[in-house]
Amino acid sequence: MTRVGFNCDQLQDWDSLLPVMLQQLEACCRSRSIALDPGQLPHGVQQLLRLAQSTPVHLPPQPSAISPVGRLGRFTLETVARGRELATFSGEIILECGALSRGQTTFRLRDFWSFVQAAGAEALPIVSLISILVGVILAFVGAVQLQMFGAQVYVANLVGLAMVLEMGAMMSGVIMAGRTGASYAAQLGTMQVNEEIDALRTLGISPIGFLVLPRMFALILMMPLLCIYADLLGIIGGSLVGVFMLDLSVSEYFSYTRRAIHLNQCLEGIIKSTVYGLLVGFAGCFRGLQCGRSSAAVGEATTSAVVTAIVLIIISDALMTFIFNLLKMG
Amino acid sequence: MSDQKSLLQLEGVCKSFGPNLVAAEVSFSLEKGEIGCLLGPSGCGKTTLLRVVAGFESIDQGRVIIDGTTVSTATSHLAPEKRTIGMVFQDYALFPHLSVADNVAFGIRNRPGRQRRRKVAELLELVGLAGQSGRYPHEISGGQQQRVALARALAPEPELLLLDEPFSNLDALLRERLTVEVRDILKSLQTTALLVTHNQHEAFSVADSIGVMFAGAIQQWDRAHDIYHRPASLAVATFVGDGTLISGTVEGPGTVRCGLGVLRGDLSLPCSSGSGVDLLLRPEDVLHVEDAEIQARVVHKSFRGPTILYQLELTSGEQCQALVSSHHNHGIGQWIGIVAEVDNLVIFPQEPA
Repeated sequence: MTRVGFNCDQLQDWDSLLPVMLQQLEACCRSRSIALDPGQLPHGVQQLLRLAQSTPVHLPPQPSAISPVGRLGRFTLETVARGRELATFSGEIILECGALSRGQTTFRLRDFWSFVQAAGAEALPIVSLISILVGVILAFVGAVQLQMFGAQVYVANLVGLAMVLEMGAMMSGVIMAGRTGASYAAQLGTMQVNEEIDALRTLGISPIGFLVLPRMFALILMMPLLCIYADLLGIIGGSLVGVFMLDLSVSEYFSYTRRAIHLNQCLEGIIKSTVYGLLVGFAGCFRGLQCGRSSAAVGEATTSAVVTAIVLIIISDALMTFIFNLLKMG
Repeated sequence: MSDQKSLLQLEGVCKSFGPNLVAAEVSFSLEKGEIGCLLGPSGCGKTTLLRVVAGFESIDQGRVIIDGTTVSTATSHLAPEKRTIGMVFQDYALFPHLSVADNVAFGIRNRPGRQRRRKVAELLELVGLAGQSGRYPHEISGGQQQRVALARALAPEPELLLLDEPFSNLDALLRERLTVEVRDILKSLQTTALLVTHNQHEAFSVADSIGVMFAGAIQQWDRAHDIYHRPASLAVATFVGDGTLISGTVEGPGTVRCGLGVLRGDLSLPCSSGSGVDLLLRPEDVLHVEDAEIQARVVHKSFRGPTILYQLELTSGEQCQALVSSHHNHGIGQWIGIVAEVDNLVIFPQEPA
């Protein structure tokens, strides 16, 4: 047999099954090198067949050639490489701090003060708003529960302790991650894209000392101050609920607050916020310097700076809370 | 041992990104005061090689030596800020918040004020921007930004100046002028420089020696004249300048017979008589003479202002190009007389069919 033709005299109506069947037949014929003559088929069917043959055959996606073991290995190598980058960056910062203390680096005080301005005073409005609202929310949630026991006066203790120990530092940290950390990543990323950082280096200036240190120091200096400010405004926010909803007097509310909070607890929050400042600055500068060479990469760097900073804040918070508890027990 | 005279030396440098080899056993050297150029199509690895010299990229094999100091090997790497280099970037990378004078002064911030100001004034004078020192990068034109970038890179008096496609963002006229100016400035300061470009005209007008790169390897490292007139390989011959290959037969020392008659000149390769060769014909080697013996038909023409580049078909069916003054305007399909005048016969042995 060398040739297959069709007799379509009896064919009245057809649907998509016919071309499918014909295609299978065609493949079958081709594998046996038998010619297929579509000449007698209805015109529409011929057209459909031609169309089907003209489109490129979609190969099923090749199962990836890498075995699970290979993938694990690749993942491990990538993780190690990322860890190494992080360690290198940290090491460079420490070395530059050493060079700075010996006066051997190009640290511009003017830059430093402008970063202090941006990370401090200019952040006050947003920190105020968020802190007051967090105080209000804490007080409100607490009040609803405490009212059931007739103990609404302890709202002052709850808000005061929560703000001082956790929320003041945490909220200002998250705000600064989104505000300043992101802008650091964007600034350094843009400089990376414009090759300005390369230009700096060829002029003999280390980008770490010149760009990273002033930014990080500004944040480390400003975060504790912002934290104290946030603590205060949070407590004021709580007092609004106490005064207007729970009918406590202002002096009553603040005397309860004062009795509830100890200086050590304030310090705990302030230490935490200093660490957050370090982490936010680190994440922002690290992601900014890591930025690729396209404008899209700047956006990615900014996003990943915020995510990294917030993850670092939460992890370090858990660690530090644990450590402070150990210290208290000891 | 490295040659004491050479300021920059690369020895068998290999570099790959993952599976892609971007530099394969690259070796060359630049003498003090020499201007070198890496010329090649985009993606051939020339910019990566420049970044290797600058210290932005590490290398997998080989050595990079600047002024007698080994700065890169497979295991050691000196940071770019510790190498005494200057670099001019493709997009200039000026600091946008600093004025022109501050940009130039940036690399010499540690010098005493008066000395620094004098150096900045001197350099701005040199690049022809003496009156612009107070302006900001966004207020000046691309060509001026380019000069500021050059002045900034030259301010710390680097041993070696690297230029990454420095003229690619400029219009043709300005490019022409700046290439000459840059060469004059570099020569007057006796600065050693390495330039990267995909534009052969830039390479020819700036550089003393040129390396033509393809796929991560330097195919030929030579003087501009020799790159053009004595290309080492077919790839170099066709990348640098226009030209066509026509087949011919060597008839004796310095004599080749081809579709354009018998040509006499210096053979680029010693070839025995009777062997078949491919001969490179540059468009400017083919002259238009009205009553010439050899006639060719115009297949295609492109008007270039003062000249017209004609694509011609010989009676043998082979094609060649001729650069003719645009006073001789011929239509497509017309037969015109041509004479070949070739001094350097660039030939490549024909593959036996």
